Amino acid sequence: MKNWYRKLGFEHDPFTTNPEADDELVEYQDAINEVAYRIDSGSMAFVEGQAGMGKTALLVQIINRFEGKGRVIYYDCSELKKKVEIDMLMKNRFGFFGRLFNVVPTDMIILLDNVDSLSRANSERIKYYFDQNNIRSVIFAGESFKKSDLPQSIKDRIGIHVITLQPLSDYGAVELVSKRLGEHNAMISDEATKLVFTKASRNTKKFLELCSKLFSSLTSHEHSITLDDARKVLRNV
Amino acid sequence: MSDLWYRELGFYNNPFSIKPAAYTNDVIGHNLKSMFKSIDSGQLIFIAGPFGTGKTTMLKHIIGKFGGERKVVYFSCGLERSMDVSDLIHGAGSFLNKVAGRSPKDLIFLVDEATDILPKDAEELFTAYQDGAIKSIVFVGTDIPSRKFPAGMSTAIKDNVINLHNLPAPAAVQLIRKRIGNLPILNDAIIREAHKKADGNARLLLEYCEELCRLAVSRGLDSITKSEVEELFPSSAPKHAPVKRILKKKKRIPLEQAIEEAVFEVEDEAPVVEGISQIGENDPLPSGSLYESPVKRKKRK
Repeated sequence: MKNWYRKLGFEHDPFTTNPEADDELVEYQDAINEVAYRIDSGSMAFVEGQAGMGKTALLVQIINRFEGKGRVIYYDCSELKKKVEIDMLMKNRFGFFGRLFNVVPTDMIILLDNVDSLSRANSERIKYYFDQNNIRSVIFAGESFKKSDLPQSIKDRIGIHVITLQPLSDYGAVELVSKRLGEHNAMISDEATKLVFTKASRNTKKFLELCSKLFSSLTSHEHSITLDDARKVLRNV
Repeated sequence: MSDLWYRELGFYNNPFSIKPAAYTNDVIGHNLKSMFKSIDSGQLIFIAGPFGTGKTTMLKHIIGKFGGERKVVYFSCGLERSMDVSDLIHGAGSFLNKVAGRSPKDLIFLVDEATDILPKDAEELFTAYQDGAIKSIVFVGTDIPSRKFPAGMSTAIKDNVINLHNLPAPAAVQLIRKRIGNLPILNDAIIREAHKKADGNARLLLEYCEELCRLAVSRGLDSITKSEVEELFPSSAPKHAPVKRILKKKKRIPLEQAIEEAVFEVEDEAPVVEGISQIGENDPLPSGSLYESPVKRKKRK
């Protein structure tokens, strides 16, 4: 059955892994506040966490919080094979006339997602604009700050501002599922949720995907999904 | 957002900003005047120092002193392209000069990340300097790339190397005092302690002090003691280790007390409007006050 969620009255899969602005992140409020503080106080910061831990979701929340000021640039470095050109990103902000007159905005907030490495030219630009105060704050997101290939001068400016995303607790996983399911949160027992979470090796994205799988295969169930049901479906995982 | 710690202390911006542009009169422990003199007399200067010791800040001061007359050319060698010296020289002059084909005089070149300079560029720069097209060149980098410089250049630079070291403790205290004035949150002994933890690195010191003040405000402390320094930056932890998350738990004050305090504060305030207008343009800013760039001020009007 493909559209199990239609039956429950959802228009889309409630376990979607595409981060959306109105999602409420579970257990990450501290991290979001921390990033927001770094932006307000004008520093560089690095958000680290493995793939699927919610880095992008966190950045989306940040965009949501600061977008009213119209100065947030979000750029996913892994997207396509495109090269980032910080220079162009900055100047394109004022459209055609900006490019024509080389106007550079001030107080920009730059979010760079999936940063493994930056070219020398880009890091030099970022450093220059940051020191000039054209960029208020730069938030990098990647798997690991230590292993990332950022140049030393950037790493030094990030300094101690590294925010590590921790995996959700069991309780957080249960909360996440019940938030996603809304009024149908009785559809799955807490024990089953915890099992799925362990099967997903505590990775949030994997966890959501497995939940979706579990629900789509058990859609004809009338009662809520129990531990045994979950075990049966996820035997091969 | 109103829950920023520095807003609660009366600063509009983060007083410990590591951006060199944020504050102007900030150089501690280096003799700027003698540097300006040697630039004026047309010498080659190399500013060398590890990360976070204030190289860019020094450059900012040079731009502040000599900029504005279209005479300063800034170039960063990290941009992965050749610097095309003659183009830079001609681009620097005023419009009239360009029309007349004259090249500007008395140019000052600032070469950032000079450690990565291309040998070809160094040579071109040096010939332009010897021809008199460039008055003075200031190189900035972590260390001197003697091999990439032409022979004459290395000897010319030799006497004018400014080595930026880590801050000595008294200078560290002075630096922090310049940023926050005499706020009782950080006393001198604590600044020295933070300075020790930061290994004398100026940038790290600023970051540490920021964390300390943040902790103090979030906990409602009047001043930081050694135990908080140890808590945030334990001796066992490696340098540059991320700070432990500070939990934002504010002390709840009962409503009546809050009202009482608020009323008391209003009564206590003297009218200060006249005093502010009396500060002339050239007067030094009161310590711990904000510096805003002129551009911003204009906008606000």
